Amino acid sequence: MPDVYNWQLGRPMTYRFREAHPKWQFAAVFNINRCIACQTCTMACKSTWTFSEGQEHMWWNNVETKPYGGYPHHWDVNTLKLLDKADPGGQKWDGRTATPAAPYGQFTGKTIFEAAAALGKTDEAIGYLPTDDEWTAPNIFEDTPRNRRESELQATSLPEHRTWFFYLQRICNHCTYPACLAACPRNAIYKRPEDGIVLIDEQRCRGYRKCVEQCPYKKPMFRSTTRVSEKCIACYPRIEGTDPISEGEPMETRCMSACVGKIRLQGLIEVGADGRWAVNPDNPLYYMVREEQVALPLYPQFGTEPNIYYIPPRWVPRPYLHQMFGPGADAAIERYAAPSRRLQAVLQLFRTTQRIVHRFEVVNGHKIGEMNVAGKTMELFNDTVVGFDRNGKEIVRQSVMEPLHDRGPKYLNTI
Amino acid sequence: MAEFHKGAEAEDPFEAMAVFVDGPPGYDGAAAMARAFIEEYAMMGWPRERILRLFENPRYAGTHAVYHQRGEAFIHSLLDDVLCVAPAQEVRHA
Ligand code: SF4
Ligand code: SF4
Ligand code: SF4
Repeated sequence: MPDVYNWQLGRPMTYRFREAHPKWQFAAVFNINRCIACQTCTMACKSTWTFSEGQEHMWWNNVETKPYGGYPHHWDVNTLKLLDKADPGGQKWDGRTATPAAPYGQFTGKTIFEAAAALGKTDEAIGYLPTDDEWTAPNIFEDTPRNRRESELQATSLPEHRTWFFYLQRICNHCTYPACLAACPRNAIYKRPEDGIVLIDEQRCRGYRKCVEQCPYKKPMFRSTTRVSEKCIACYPRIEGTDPISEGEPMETRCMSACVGKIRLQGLIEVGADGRWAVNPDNPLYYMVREEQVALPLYPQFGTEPNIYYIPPRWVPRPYLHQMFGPGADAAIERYAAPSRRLQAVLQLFRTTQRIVHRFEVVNGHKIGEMNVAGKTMELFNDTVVGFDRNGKEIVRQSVMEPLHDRGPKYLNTI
Repeated sequence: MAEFHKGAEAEDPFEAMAVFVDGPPGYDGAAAMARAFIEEYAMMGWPRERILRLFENPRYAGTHAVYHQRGEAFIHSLLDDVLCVAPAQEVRHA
């Protein structure tokens, strides 16, 4: 098997195919600190792509409550257990080797591909097929809404949660080295050279479910009515600008543009022939992932080089975050909790336009306050962020202080 | 609360449900989450009074649970600590 270079692991790794990279890569940043688990993203995807017979159990986008939930149930714990079995106690990072090109250091454990080889498996990657039960009831008992009357509105009288949790938003990662693609014996899965989107060719697919088994994120799903597998398609007509409402310009996907909590920003990253990201600190995604390094890949140790990046939740115990996001979690939280002026402005770009922002600029504003973050004083400024599309046209302008409108006490849910 | 501290069991199909996942010794999850809420809204320029209402209002179950458990003085102390100079945002009334 050829060696390919995985920058998230800071080293080469084995993969079924030789290294080849798209010109642009579909990517996004999700800010976990701001998600309210309203599931608007989930419903936006569902009502666009998976509303038909045989797709009832399919949630290409889902939001789960960690550490309790998962869709399918326990997907990550199960894969972590398999990795530990292949390499007991060996899933470690060497942070001393961190460089700008390998910002998390070097992963010294085994990826899902290397673990399969170590166990002498003929499959490309370790994996498992979730049971039918595990695909049903996403969010069961995670956040149970209660239908309460006004007179009952008070804090719960049952044992209260005195623990920590956070919401994890999940779609297909349109990985650089997709396990689903490597796993398919029919070569029915492909990664598009123009935007890195990973798709299943449903004409070629015969429903062997090898992708379902070997994708560590469990994002391909089998449809019994058509007997083929399906997965998130990154709303590619929007990315191409061929969706009628996009007017020919690349547009963010349904789940991104519907996000009520304003936690998602999606775009395209320019990639060189060697797989390196073209240096572009004025691109908001490049800036957050590579410059500020506040956004991190989900379970980078799996080895697929996922392209959805997460700003980790800063209240969660660190060992959990290290396992989920790798050794970059501490520095990411430190930078996010006391953001630079530039980062503070970029965070305001999230969900201000449906168009893909290729470049941003920050216009300085006046000082509005001061915060104490971990014993240090941080100044707050009312700067303005300006976003431009790929043609350099201004598409959004937003200040840090957004206008606030108070709807008054006659509305029950007003604050 | 000891009776509620039942650990996860791998054979339980809902193994991680209704199980306390402890943080490191001394870790106070509720305070850490409440502080994070305050910081997030402060970063967006919200005034103190408005952030406080997120805790006071029982419709915001998560933040209100901390207010209920720890009391108003606790929330004020967090606000005092985070907001050195609180933004004075103009609020337009409907
Ligand atoms: S729409 Fe946004 S805030 Fe709501 S659950 Fe989805 S990611 Fe979270
Ligand atoms: S997340 Fe899974 S389905 Fe998506 S590209 Fe990666 S391996 Fe394939
Ligand atoms: S990118 Fe499109 S297809 Fe994929 S999860 Fe989001 S809405 Fe669904």
